[in-house]
Amino acid sequence: MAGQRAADHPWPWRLLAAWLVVLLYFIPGYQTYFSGPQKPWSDLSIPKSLSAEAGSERPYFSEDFVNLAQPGVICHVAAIAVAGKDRLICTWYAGSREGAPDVAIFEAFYQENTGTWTEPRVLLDRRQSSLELKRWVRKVGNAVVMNDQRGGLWLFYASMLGGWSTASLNYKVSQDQGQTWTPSRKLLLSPFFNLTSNVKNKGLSLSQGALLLPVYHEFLRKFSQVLLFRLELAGPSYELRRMTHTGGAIQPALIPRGNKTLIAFFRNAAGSENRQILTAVSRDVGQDWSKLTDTPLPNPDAGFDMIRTADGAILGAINNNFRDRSDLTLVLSQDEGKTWKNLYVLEHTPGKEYAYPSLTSTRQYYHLTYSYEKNRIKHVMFNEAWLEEQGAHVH
Amino acid sequence: MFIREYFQLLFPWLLVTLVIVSVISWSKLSQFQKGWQKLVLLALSAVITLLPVHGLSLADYLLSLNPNFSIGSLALVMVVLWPKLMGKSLLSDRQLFTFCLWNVVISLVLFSSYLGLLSYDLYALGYNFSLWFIFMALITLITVWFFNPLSVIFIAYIMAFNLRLLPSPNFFDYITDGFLFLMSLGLLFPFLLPSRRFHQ
Repeated sequence: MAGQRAADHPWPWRLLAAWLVVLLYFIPGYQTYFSGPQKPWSDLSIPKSLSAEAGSERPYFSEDFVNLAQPGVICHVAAIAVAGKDRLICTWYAGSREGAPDVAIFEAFYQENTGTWTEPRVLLDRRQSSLELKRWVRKVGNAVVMNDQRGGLWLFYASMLGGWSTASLNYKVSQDQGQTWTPSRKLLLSPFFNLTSNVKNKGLSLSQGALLLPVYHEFLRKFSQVLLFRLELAGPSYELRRMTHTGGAIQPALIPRGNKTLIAFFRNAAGSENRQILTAVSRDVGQDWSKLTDTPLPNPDAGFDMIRTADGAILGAINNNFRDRSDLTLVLSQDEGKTWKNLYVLEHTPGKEYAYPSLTSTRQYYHLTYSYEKNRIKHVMFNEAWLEEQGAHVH
Repeated sequence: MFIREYFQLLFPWLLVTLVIVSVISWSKLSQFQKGWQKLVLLALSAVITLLPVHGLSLADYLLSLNPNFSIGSLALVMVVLWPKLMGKSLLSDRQLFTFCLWNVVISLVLFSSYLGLLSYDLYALGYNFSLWFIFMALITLITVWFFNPLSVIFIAYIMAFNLRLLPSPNFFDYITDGFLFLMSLGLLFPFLLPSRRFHQ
């Protein structure tokens, strides 16, 4: 039948149609390899990030709360980022329970020189998200805030129609250090009903204004992905790469090593006993990743964060046991994550929960935020001299 | 960006039209033989699809469930709707069977890969020109050479991708989506019945 149909049409027409197809497929090929708007992933590099400077200052350490506890309100998934000179923004979500329709994403600003937080205010709730996206949004959830190299502040947040496995990601941008935000835009990251993408840790800002955001997936399997987000004249473009295939490795923390290499540390959600934080390495700015290996650090299936310090070490804030989130400890590695030492126990109260830490640094200080007994967000601030002092005490 | 915003409303509009036509045909209320009846029907379904109620339209709700209806979905709804409206089939039974089978197979492979059931990350090949594009080009060339009506759909995939008509930056999202997988699976079932014969 097909042969008969083909015979009905003279071959010049078929040839013409075939050339049209070749031409249509030549366009994306030409854009990719010759004159595309996007430079290849391999052309990107990791600029040296801002980290607190080692100086002759006296050790400094302080603790305070970003918000007040309210009866019947839980607070979770704090994220902190620089928002102008000596100024930081902290975001978290709060509501009657995790995944409740009344959950909203809050923001508060911290001024380093006065040591004060502004009153928390709602940055986004499900109604506003729905209005901005022009989509039905039943709940909002995890949010992470981060900087780009051009002074922009980015908020990536999850919205859901059902449980966590229905989460999809959206973003907002602020060009005035968090005073105003653009309307939300949805990211399409999955071919299957856009299920399921979530965030925990901030990403890295790359050269050419690009961002690298760690994303995790938990629909049928739990694994991690990395989202390369570029700002083009025609609008933002993005692409997603798988970081892991097996092992329940989620919520990666990305640590740069040089201008192309990245080390990722993963929460271990494999479901086995005595789980340890997992790690993998990429030598091409996140495009391809090595197999997962264990670190010596325990992980009770809990989120954590890590950051590179001014002297090149890796500083982490982790739940330092195999069982629960009843403690929170600062740990430090001088050998790219192979060995670790415990620096300082921030919290340790059996039966309580200290979870989802987020770390960032300014020129003078390191800042850590985390959910404190799930009803407040705690803020800890210290400098390089304090870190060195803690390191000197540890043998 | 502007064209994309409106193009993604096309699928919800056609789907609502298909539902209305199917309900009316099933209830034997009308046969839509006159041109003005068809125009009124299309206008009515457009109003139902696009009219916002409490801030969101039916199209917005549909796009909330599946934010990226592929060109394949658009083609399949057109193929099913066309005979009901115009009284003439765009594809024969055998061609429809082939198209549905293609949709199911490509969806199963893609979704298995994306959802972590396969270790290979197939979806990553859809962002930039890759071996996947060459594979699709070859399939399109074969269908074009034999003047198979499915070639129109295969050409539409790459044309729409080049024009960036859909919100997704990934070529796979122009070929298939979750809705197309389910709909194609549903349309394949009747072909499995022993009494079913292919009509040309």
